[in-house]
Amino acid sequence: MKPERLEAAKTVLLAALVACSLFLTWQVWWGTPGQYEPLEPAARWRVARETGSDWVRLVRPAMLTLSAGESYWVFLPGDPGFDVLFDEMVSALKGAEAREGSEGFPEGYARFQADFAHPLPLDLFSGNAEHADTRVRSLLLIDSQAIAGYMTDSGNLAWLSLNHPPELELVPGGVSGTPILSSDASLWVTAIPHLTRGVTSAAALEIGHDVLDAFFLDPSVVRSIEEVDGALIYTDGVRGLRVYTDGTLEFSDPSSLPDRGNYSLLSALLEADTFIASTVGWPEYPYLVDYARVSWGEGKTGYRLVFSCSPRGLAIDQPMIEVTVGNRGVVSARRMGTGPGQAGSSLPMIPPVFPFDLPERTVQVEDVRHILPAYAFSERAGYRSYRPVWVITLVDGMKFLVNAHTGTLFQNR
Amino acid sequence: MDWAKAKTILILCYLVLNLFLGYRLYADPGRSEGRLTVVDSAQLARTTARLAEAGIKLVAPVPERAPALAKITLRHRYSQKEAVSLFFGDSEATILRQEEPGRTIYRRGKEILTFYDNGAMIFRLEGNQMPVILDSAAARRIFEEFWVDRGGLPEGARFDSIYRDERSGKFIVYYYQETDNRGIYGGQAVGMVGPGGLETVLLTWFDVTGSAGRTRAVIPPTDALEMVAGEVKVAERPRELIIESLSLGYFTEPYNARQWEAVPVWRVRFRDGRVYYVNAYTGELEVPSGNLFR
Repeated sequence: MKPERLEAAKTVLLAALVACSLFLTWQVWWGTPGQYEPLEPAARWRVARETGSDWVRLVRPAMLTLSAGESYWVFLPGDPGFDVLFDEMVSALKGAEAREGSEGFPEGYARFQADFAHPLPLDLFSGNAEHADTRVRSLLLIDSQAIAGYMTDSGNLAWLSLNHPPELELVPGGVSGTPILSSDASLWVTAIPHLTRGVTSAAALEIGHDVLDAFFLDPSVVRSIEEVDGALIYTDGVRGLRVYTDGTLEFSDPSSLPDRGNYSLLSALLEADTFIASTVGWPEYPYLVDYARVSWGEGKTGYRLVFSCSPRGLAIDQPMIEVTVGNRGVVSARRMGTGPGQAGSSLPMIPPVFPFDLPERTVQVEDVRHILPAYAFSERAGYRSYRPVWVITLVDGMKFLVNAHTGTLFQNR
Repeated sequence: MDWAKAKTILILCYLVLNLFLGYRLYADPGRSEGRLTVVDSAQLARTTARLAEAGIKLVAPVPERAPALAKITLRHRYSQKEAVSLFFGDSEATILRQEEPGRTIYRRGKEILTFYDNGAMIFRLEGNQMPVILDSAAARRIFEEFWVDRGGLPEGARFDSIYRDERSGKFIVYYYQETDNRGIYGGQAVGMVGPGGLETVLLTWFDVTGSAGRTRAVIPPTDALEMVAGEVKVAERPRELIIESLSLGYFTEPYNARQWEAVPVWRVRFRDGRVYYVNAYTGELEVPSGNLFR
């Protein structure tokens, strides 16, 4: 071979060797991430907000009524001052103990009443285990008095002694209300707030594109199953997520079945709060609709919690999120596919007029235990919406809804 | 400057450097973004010792290397119509059809085909067979002969095992589905052969329609073995436990679905017939929900 051609070949060879060494160096440097890809459990969870003491936000009442003299103000979830007032009430009730006697409330003081859409256990507020079986529908505080009252779901009145008398702060906000006195008029106020609310459409709730990230630690190991009815199931072999065609989400995690031992409702609320906040997120102004202790045998117990929400301040009387939780975490959860959408034009809500004629009886104002404003689900000619209503509960426990725009008995169709 | 000499030296230097880098890449067990999972002899020895502690003998060969795998997508191979044609042929004889919740039943004489909504099929032959002298070889032959009349076993069928049920004395012959040299565990043709001949055939079979997700490393087979040992340890152990087979494939159950994904699994089969599936991504035990599954 001629020397010139040999040198040319050496140049080509050298260039090839340099390129090869660059490639191999790149492979050594970047191409060895390790045998397994590490799981990053904590980092993969989206935590929507800090949780902790936020359980109070999950047990909001449907309405707060502040009365001073002849004036009444009604606060609904979302109104300025609502959370401040309710926090004060929760704080005042902490450590409350049962009080004997029925001397009634002193006159001439401002008073503050919370009405829940669904009864809640009194021990949640008092922290007293003796109150665990008492479900309260309403709570009442008197300014500067170390006494509180509550009405049970069955309409019984009872008293509590407070450790410290509350100092009610008259915060700006709320709307004025007209009191309708119940049969226990001297103590309890059923007030009708002067509201304007429109129909709110019922819309399919969004399913985030990162829904798998929210429910599974490592979505890359998740497999999907497309069912015949169009529903999609995602599972990593243990946990499962079913996405229905209407947007309903159902999650189950049998590995979270609880161990033996007691588990409090408060702990369940905190666990549910963290889970929902980090997965599908809470709807606007959530509140606890219902709860029940559930068991899986052999002393394994937990809670089934049902939540709804209060768009524009009016509680929707329909479950939106259900969570079953034990001391090892969330066992199952379900988020409905439909929720509040766009709000229509506001119209005045007409107060119900008594006597009110029902098909089977006539209701007098004395028969009324309490009245709450709410949104009720309606489906007419294929249009699904939430319509403003008055939820009227009678002393005998009967409940009916009055269309707040027409003043007539509510028909959901 | 002597460029010719310099180039020669550089060529030699780069040659040595490339050999070093090449060896480094080849010898590194954790290389290649998990393209390959490697088991070294020390790891295997530790696992074998742990299995022995749990009273389990390992006779199955353990793969030294396992490739990274992606999930695969599946759908049912047979529609109801195709299943009827497969089991009854194109005979003109009347086939009675009866719908029940979750299943459809077809009858022709003493032959009954039950087609479940999840795609599983059970074909029963009621007492119309000739008595046979039964051993495992005969049972397998009888099962295979059944398929000869139907164009052979479904494509990709691989013989797995045969067991004798001690209470009934019947033999159960297992075939599993294989595609591209990987088992699709859950795709299976199972026959129950009694003294009167073939009694029942169970068939679940799938089409692989593609892959899903990215290719990722699988756990080492030793991890899967230790996972299974932990499970068996707490379970009842009637007699000596021997792991007879260990293989990497895909796990699925029959679903009432249009299409679904299956994940890679390590399949651990014991000599007494027990089979465990360990998710090759997560290392968790896959628990089949149906009793039609093995």
